[in-house]
Amino acid sequence: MKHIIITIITALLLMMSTTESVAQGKKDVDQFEVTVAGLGCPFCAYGLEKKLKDFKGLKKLKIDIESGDVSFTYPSTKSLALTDVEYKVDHAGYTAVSAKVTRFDGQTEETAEVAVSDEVDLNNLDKTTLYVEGTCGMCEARINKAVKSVKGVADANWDSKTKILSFSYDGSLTNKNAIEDVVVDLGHDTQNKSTTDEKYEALPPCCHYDRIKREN
Amino acid sequence: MRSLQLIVVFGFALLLYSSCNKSHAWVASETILLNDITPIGISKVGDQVWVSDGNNNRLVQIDPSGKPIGDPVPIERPMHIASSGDQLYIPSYGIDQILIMSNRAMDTLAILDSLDAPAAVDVAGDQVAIADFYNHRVLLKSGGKWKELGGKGKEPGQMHYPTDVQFHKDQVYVADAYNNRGQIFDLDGNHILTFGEDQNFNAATGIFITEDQVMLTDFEHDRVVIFDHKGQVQQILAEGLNKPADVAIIDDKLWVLNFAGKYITTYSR
Repeated sequence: MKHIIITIITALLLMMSTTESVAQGKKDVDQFEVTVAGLGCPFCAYGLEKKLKDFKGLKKLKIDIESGDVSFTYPSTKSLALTDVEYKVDHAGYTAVSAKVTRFDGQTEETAEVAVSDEVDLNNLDKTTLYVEGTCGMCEARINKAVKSVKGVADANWDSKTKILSFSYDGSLTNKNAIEDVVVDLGHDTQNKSTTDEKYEALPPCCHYDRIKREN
Repeated sequence: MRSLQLIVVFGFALLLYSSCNKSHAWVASETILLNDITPIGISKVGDQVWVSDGNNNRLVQIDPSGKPIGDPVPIERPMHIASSGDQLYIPSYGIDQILIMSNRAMDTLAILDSLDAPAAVDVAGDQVAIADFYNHRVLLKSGGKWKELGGKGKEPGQMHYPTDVQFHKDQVYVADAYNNRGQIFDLDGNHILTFGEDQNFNAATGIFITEDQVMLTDFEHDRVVIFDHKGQVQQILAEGLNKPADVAIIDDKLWVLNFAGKYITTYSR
């Protein structure tokens, strides 16, 4: 009888401790999920992993190259902002198309997709094209996201084969020259302007196109 | 009558030339499905064929049909592997180390310098070469001393994210991935030859050298370009390839690892 009571008490204590540790585990971490566009080559994808490891305390990092899904946990006490994660990804030359965090208490935050400004007159758009240097799916994602983020732009699509960026915009809110500046600031040469060496070098390896040589 | 004889002789010579050429060309022979393995590198140790599965952080031994043998070995982002004797050398891109596996037991290669994302290693006797991706260089151990080949740049002798390396007859061959070319150096680090620059590569990721050929994978263009040792193109393999990450000769067959397709294409001649 005494053995049975000891066994039951031990089992109960074990269950309580397990439940507590699971709850503690959930309390401890926030779960981040980011979708990165255009990941194709393993060398670049694993490079993103290295960049994310700069967040000290990051754990359970997973990257699915095919889907571009990146997930990891981070100590909740550090209150890592979703925008900081997105900035880290974008600043390293990759493009986060969506990001979500589930906080330790179950609350979620998501970044909204780039939306066309309400001020854009969709019935009065200018359509044009621009030659932009680049190489791959990662370039495509980066260029499209940045141009669509410009207030006044209704749509943008860069083709990695033709290297032509086609876009439509409300001429009362922005202009082609301003959009070209945005693209150059990303690290891409265009038909009229050159990016800086620093911006070019900051692009991931597979995005390094042949620079456009210009006469001074 | 004499014209007829000449035609027959000429025809025979043409046939002979044609058959000689055919015997040197690689012909696709087999597709080996790997299921959930995303192959980046391959090497044979004894009678064991090992494949590095970068996406799944593991090294997998496979049988001739591509099926895994035994438990996979967990390694963070293993890349282009190599063998020497009964040892397998594994560059771990994730932890910046070169691991040495012997009978599934692990050791670490001692390197005085620090690596940043080693993408490949090759070993020949006491010589070691490591493609040090983010440092744009190849670390070479020769004559008991380490030296550095390359350095960031596009000029001959410089490198832009090297991803593979192999010794051949006192020379070091490098897949200079994002300069989209191959390069050859001697063991003193002198640049000997640059090749493939006119072949419109987009990420020359894997390299393999034989007595008469130099094979270079063109990752984004889904092909393998085969050169002679002077850099002249001999053959291009393209049909059915899908993001080829590495190439190797194993048991007289040419193996191409299709990273995106998760299969190996073999060729014979």
